[in-house]
Amino acid sequence: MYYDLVKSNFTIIKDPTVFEDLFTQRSYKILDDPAVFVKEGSHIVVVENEAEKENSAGYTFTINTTIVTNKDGIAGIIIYCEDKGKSEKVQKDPSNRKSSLEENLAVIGELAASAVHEIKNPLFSIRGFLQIIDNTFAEDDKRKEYVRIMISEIDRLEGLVRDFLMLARTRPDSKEQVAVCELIREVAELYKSSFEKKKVKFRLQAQDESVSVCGNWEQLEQVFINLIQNALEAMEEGGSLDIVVSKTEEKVIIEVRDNGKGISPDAEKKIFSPFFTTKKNGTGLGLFLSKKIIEDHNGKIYFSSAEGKGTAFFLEFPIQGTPVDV
Amino acid sequence: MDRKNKILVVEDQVWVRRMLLEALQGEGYEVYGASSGPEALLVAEEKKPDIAVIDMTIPGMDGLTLISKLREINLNIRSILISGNSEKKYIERALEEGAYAYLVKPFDISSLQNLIKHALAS
Ligand SMILES: Nc1ncnc2c1ncn2[C@@H]1O[C@H](COP(=O)(O)OP(=O)(O)O)[C@@H](O)[C@H]1O
Ligand SMILES: [Mg+2]
Repeated sequence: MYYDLVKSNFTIIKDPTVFEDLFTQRSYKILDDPAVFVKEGSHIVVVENEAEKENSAGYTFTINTTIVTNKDGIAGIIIYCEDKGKSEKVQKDPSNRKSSLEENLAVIGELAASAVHEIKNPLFSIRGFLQIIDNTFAEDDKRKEYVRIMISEIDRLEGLVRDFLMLARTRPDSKEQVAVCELIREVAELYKSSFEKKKVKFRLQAQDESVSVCGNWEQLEQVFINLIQNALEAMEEGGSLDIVVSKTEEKVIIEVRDNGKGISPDAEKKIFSPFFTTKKNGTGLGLFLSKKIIEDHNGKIYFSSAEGKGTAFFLEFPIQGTPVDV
Repeated sequence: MDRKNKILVVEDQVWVRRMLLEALQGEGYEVYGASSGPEALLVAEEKKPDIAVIDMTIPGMDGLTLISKLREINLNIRSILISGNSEKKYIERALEEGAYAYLVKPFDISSLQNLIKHALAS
């Protein structure tokens, strides 16, 4: 039966035997195979193969089913099966187990990444329904304000979730030579319209355009996104954002300077702590994350700031030759 | 010319789909939902939608494949991709492969409504 499912990507089965199980009103039995019960939606199903019971390998399918109804009731089910191949049985042999903290962290990271995905969709539908509700209220209805607050809180949650995902991904994965100026230009390009809108003048100066550091492109990109975003948020009435790249014998130094509102002495000690934010919609994870990434790259980050005048963040990375595998 | 414009929403997350359908119905369109690529093709054959709003990661086939298959049914269909993925390379590729527009989730539903108005006018 499962072989048929694999061969035909897409099957319509007439007259399915409706099967209600204990947990759901919408479970359906496909043909007579007791191994597959599906309900509407997407599932991962492992089908045990009788003939191969000894080594107890199963076949994993992603199954998506749609119930097609007409006025007489259920007309059929559309089933889409994606063969994920033979599922690897978890190795129970203790000598094969890397029960290190690192592996646990990797698992948590993976889990977080899919949890984030699962959280984003409901947030999105809630947000959309709120907007629909909003349109039904008169302009002076107080409930319009409540809806606005709810939407802004959802946006904050969304930001938290996004930053968590980044945190989950922060592993010293693959490192390569990253051309710093190219990376900064690419990030600045994303902010082009924000710079224009906020009347912020952006400049990148480099002693040596080709300077590179050993690191992970996506993670370093995230650092500059965070720093540029913060700088923009600190400059309500326009200003200038300067990034200066320089190098010495042993390190690359990147300065990110804005002339925004600066950091109060009170806040100075806390800005790298998780969840510290002075913004209504902030997550307080940007700098925490950036610092973690930079330290993962054997670098450091520090800043100097004057309230009302501006802030400069300094990043230092060691210069190395081409990366060597240890 | 009095025919209502038809919009197909392909999204496997049931409440996201419902939300999008309601938001677009509220704008006066005739709306249809599908939860997978194959189902979308069946609906498209029958209803001939003007616009398709497609989640990038629907079961059955990826959003880009669905776009080209929808084109085989109706050359003039405009497809708007929606996705949680905001990577630049990913978006560029989607636009190159024939998407009319790409919206990063979560977006403001008025952005989608405006985009559809624009797509129908052009
Ligand atoms: N360029 C800057 N100018 C002024 N204040 C800043 C700047 N960068 C960071 N901060 C302060 O540090 C806090 C923490 O920043 P961050 O970790 O990125 O979180 P968030 O931006 O979500 O508030 C900010 O809320 C702000 O008070
Ligand atoms: Mg920030």
